[in-house]
Amino acid sequence: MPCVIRTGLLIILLAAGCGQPDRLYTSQFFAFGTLIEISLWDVTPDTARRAEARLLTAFQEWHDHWHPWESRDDTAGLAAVNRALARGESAPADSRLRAMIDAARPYYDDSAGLFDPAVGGLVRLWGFDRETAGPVPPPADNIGDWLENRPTFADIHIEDDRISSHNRKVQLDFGGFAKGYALDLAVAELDDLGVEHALVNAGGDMRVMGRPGDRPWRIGIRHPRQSGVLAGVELAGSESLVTSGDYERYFLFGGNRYHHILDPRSGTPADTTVAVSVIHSSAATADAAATALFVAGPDDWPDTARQLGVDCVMLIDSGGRIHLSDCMRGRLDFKFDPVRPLELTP
Amino acid sequence: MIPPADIPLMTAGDRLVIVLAAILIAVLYAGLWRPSAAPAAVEYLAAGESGRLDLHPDRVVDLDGPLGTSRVQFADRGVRFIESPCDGKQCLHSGWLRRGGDFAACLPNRVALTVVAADRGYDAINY
Repeated sequence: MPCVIRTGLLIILLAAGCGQPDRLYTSQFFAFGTLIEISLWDVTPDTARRAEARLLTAFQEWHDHWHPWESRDDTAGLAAVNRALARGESAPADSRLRAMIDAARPYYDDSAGLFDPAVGGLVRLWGFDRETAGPVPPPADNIGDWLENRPTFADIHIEDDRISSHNRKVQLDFGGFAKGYALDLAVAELDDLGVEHALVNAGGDMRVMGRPGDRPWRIGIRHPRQSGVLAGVELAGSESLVTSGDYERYFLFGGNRYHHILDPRSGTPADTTVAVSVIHSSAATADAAATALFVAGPDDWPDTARQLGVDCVMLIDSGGRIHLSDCMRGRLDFKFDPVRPLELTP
Repeated sequence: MIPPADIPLMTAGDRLVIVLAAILIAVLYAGLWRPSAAPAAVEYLAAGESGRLDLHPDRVVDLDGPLGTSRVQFADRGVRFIESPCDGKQCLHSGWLRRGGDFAACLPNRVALTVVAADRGYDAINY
């Protein structure tokens, strides 16, 4: 009975489909000063292992090259450059560091300096270079000293593969850029391994490629003050989502929150914004833009976003009001009423 | 095409297969298909070691990291940080984790928790 055999085989195949194993491979590790999570869809166990090993090595190397203050090699990387600049000397720029500096410069220019990696000295002044910032703000005189002859990214010069600056106050800190830049490189590494569908999450900022099966990647954007999710968003293809928030690194003093996103114009934490989320094809762009728009604040972010070429933006101001670009409004699935201001505590 | 009149549209074997298929589907549905699986476990990462802990029963578990001990509480099929040796206490502010994909970490102490479920609410949390 060939008909019976054919039908029986079909049933067996359908039944096998019911028991299909999970094709999502996930892995976590600490590197780059944060938690890295990799989600891979539809890869072989061997590819998954090679991808995890390659990204672990890569994130550790990038951390070593780009950390502003720590390095295993005293003569290489950004930490060595910062020490040389503080002495008024030039320092060799290896190709990877130079590539990142070159990649960051347009965002400094297009944001009119609101994104400025030359704030390293200010970051140290506030203590955000340490695990434990605070417990009190730095003296106003110290901030005033930093603002006098304020160092900027424009003070950095690269010539004959050496980095120098006429301003000894310049200390480079790519905290508002390196994670996004690394995410773009990480996806390139996965692409090189033949991975087509992946999500790389570096401390809450992420870039995706492809999609897990027949659905997009589902992401929850954290509420800035409460536990849980403020809104859901779907990503697919080549997209990144980066959020800068005042809840990531901060300390409380005198009933006020002092966080790590510093306004280079005032030398103090940008205090009109609570969080900015940006979706863009490039994680580096999204990262730099999230920092710049946070500093720009609720009045000026649309102009800065236009200058930076980003059009998917959510900004939550210090009054809890949610500002959305048209692109972002169409993509978010809010768990709260976005018209009513969020209740924010210090 | 109309079949010749002397060939039946369905043989006894076909009927048997259809009946068996119906029974098989019913058995598979009852045995394998469940409503969206409630999260049953949490994956942890602590000082480079990873593992899985059941969300049930209610209890308190210590996870050691380079700075000291992070203490997590399991209750009502959820988990949360209740003590950690970091200064920001961001992990404590993350509150209860109950849905698949819910996540919290004490980065300074290198301890992370992720709720796992067959149906992950979110693939990742952006913050």
